[in-house]
Amino acid sequence: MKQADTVFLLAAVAVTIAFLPACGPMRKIETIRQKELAATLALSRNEIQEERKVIAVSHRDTITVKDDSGKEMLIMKAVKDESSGEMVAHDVIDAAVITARFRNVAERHGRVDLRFEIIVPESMQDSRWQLRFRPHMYILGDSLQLESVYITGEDYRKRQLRGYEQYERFLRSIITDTTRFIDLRNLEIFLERNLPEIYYFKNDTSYVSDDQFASYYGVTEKQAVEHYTHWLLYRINERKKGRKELMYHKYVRAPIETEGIRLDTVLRNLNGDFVYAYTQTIATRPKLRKVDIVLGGDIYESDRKLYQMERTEPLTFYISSMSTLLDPSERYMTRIVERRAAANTACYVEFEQGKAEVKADLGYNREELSRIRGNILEVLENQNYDLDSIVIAASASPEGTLAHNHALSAQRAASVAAYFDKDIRHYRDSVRRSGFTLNVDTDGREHVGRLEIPDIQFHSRSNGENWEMLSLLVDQDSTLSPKDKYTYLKHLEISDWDQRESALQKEPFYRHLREELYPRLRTVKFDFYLHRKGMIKDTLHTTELDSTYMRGIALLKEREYEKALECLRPYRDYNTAIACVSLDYNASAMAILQELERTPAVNYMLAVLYARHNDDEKAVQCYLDACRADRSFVFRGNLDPEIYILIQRYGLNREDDPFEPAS
Amino acid sequence: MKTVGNILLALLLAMAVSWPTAAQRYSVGTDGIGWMSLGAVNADASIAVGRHASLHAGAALNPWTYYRQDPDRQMQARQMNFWGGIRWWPWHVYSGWWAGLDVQYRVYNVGGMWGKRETEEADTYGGHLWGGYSMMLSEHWNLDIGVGAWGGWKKYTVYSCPICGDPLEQGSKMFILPDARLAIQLIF
Repeated sequence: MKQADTVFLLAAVAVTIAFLPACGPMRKIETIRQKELAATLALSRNEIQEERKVIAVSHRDTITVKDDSGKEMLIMKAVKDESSGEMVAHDVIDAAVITARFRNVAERHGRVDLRFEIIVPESMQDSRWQLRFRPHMYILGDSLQLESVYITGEDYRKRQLRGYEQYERFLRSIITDTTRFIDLRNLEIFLERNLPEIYYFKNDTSYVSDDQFASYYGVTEKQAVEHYTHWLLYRINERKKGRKELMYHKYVRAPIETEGIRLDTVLRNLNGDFVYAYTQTIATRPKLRKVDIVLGGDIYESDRKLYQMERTEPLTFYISSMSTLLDPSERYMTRIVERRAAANTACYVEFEQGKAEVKADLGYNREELSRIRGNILEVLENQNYDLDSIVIAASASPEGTLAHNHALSAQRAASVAAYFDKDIRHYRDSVRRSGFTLNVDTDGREHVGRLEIPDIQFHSRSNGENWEMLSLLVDQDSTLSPKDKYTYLKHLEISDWDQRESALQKEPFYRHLREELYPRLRTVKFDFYLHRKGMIKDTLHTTELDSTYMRGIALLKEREYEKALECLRPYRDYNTAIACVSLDYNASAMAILQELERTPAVNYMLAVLYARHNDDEKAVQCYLDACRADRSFVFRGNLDPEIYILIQRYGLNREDDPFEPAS
Repeated sequence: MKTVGNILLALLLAMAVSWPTAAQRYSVGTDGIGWMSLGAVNADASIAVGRHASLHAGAALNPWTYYRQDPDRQMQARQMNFWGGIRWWPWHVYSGWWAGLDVQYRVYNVGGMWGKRETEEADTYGGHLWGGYSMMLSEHWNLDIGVGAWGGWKKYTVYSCPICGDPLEQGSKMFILPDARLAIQLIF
């Protein structure tokens, strides 16, 4: 009986010892559950301290400003004394505990930095646990999970690493070199005995087919290799390969995550609350006014979730953007429209030696003439312009006399003019016969009607020998040597063109000029002279919406500040200043605004800029001027941190403030 | 006997030094366990008759009598042994596992060993069933290991001592005995 008692006692002790390590965390979890402990979200204390630092450095509790009648007044932070009812000066006392659940943040460069702190109480931390915090952002009706913050206990991480080591060992046990499955020693002896030809080729890389060599009894090298392969080992190895995933999950039960994690820190010692300063930068977008941040989280032991925290109350960020202050008024510009217009093209029409007749079948004439015809019809059918005349000028290559060439090019120009005159008349007749066409009038309205092709005047002109073009072609020619080009330039000094050509004929490179470059000089140039349809005066001044400026406004609304500034920079107006302020180009913005009339909006912008330069006096003056003229800036001031600090520092916008404009 | 030994040794050496690189279809060898049986000179030879089969034949001779001058200590394991059979090689002749079947004739006179004076003299006829593994040591040398049993019929006489002519027992009967082999072989 006594012995049985002892056994029972020992068993109880053993069970207690076995479960003892598990008791601690479980009791801790129970406490956390009972107290509903959770990490908290708070506004970034650094930011608050920064604000205080500004106050401490440039703290001036009294400044002088002018009222709307120009009279100087002192302004200072004051409160109403409850006993006397008088306003008395009030010292700034920083709050010991910040409990604010919202903050105004300013968008700059199209981005907003949301700064907050995740505070984890010490009682939630344990060496065996991993705390996984997931901040959620609510923005314009969407919910977005931000990168998580993991706080990992030392023992938890050791367990994770041990799992990885075990998996690593498993991976190392997998054989990757397949030759290790072959009993090479026995294979080699076997080959030496039975397939000596193969054995002697063992260091030769040349390919020998399996059937070429077989043993006396028909055994091939492949069969020998298969026989001396340890298939059991091979199969075990293959099985291991197939179990990689399974073994990973077996050993690494709680993997170390790297994706979507902002921080995974290992706590060596529990030493008070853990605070992580979280900064999330978001790109602003139209209509974005506020962002809520909520924190959720879990406690894990290995892969087991022990506890799920309640979501925190939201932390709200109100986002102010300078772009909401833009002036959306339309802007117009005057455009001058010229009546006359011109266009030209050139073509290469080949002629028979010394002849001027246009022959479509010669060389590439058919393609060239077809192209020109297309060009002429394109101009004729243009909805905006009428074709007045076409001047056709032919050029000749320099071989032959100048007089002959001049006459010949004149004849050729006339010949081409006649060719197209006839062609266009034919086309016009065919259009008339075809009936109706779709026309667009000068106002852009479409209507069915007859396409009227007016008479076109073709004028022909001779451009004579085209030495100018020849010089250009020689300069660009890669076949001619620098010496040839120099010689050519020397010949250009001969003023008589016929003598010049005779001199060139004696040069060795003349053949190249004659065969390669001269044909390109026989061009026919077409100049089209047009006028704007329905326009009688030579120039017209028209007022239309300034599309560049309006595009700048649109970009400003979309918070594409860099692109907006590109459009708006030349205008140097209020909207340009807004783009500059948004991009922190404060000096440029200041220079623009100081040139403008002092509207409430201009004053407000100046207040922001002065505040950025720590010139509180001018900033308050401009802000109050803006508020007097437009009460909406009273509320707007709370949204921009630069003005908000001024309001707090000097107690502006109080109902009993003598500067406060009557509502 | 000495001459036979010398010839065999010379033959083995000649084969070991060089041999044409044709298929290896023959073997000669000697069994170490046989030699341990009081120095029984033994040799066997074989010829491959296919990839999976070889024919074997061998002989062992032990003419030695020890302590002949001292009748109390004399011992002998004299024998003359002849066998022949076939082996089956699952993979390839002279390489890897094998199973064998032999017929065997043995005449012996064994006695005076292990502290016993009784001496048995017999003529035995039987078969030999065994298996083993031929380990390739090099291009021409194998270590041939085998275990098995041999059994059959024997006509025997048991004497009270190695030199006694007085039979204690006489007769004939079936027998079965375990056997083992650890041979070195030259393959050519």
